[in-house]
Amino acid sequence: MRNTLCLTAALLALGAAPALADEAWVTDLGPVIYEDEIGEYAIFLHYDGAVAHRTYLRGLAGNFDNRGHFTGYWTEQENAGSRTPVCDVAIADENGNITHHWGRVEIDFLQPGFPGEWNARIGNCFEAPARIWNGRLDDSFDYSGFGPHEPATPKGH
Amino acid sequence: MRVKICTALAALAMTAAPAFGDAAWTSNLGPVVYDVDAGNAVVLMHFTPGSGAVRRTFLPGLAGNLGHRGTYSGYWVEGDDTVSSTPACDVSIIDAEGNVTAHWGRVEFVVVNDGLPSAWDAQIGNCFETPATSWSGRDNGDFDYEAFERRRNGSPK
Repeated sequence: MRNTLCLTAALLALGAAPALADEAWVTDLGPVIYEDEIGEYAIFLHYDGAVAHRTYLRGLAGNFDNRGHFTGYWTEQENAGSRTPVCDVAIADENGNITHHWGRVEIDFLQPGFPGEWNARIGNCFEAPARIWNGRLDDSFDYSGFGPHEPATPKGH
Repeated sequence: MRVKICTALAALAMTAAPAFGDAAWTSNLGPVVYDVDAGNAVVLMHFTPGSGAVRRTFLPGLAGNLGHRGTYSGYWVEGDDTVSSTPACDVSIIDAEGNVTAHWGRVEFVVVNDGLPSAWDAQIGNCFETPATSWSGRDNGDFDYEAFERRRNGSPK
């Protein structure tokens, strides 16, 4: 079952122990949240304007005390206004959604425990991940303001 | 629309001028034939040495350029319903004909000389890994298309 921001808000309101989506980061691509888990994949979510950008990291799901290096991929929905390149080949994400807007991700957590900061590299399509994308903790993260928004700057990746 | 090997046979029977459907090569992974164009991609086909599964190699940008020297990036696929020669990748891709498979890899393909059928040198890999296994094709003017087609029809499922 998908855990959503609504669940997060409810958990936070109840003062529950750290759980999915209790983790959020400030990055140069905007705010990012730990949105969900599917199988062994953890899913990070952020928005490029109105377009949801999800990052799928294999092996991170359920891992809150032994974090290190993980690989994965990112996707943006097909026909949703993505500003990323159209790849020659489409992929199917863990939800079964098919898209030509995707790329590879390498991520290194700076601390083994929860919550943790990370340094990642991302790329488009098959290219080796090379663009720096770093996540830093943000204790004052405004979940209520998180969501689709007007595009800010031209897409760089 | 798929252009079958029989099209090549018909063309040969009519002593047509060299066309993509006539092209076949001897390679270190066994005989390879040009199968079809899928959009802007040339599709090559061969049987994998281990399992005998049908492997198809998609080379975007090569359609119409097979007789011209150049370097192209692409991918190979084997059907999820076949006895694949490789482990399933973490992520499924959708090839240019709309087939979904978790058995795929990347290809770097170099057309060595101008003219048809050109020799080629390629590097192949599994899933996202950088292509590093050599795969070379050289002209095979005595190619037995009928035997190839018989094997294709009886290839393991």
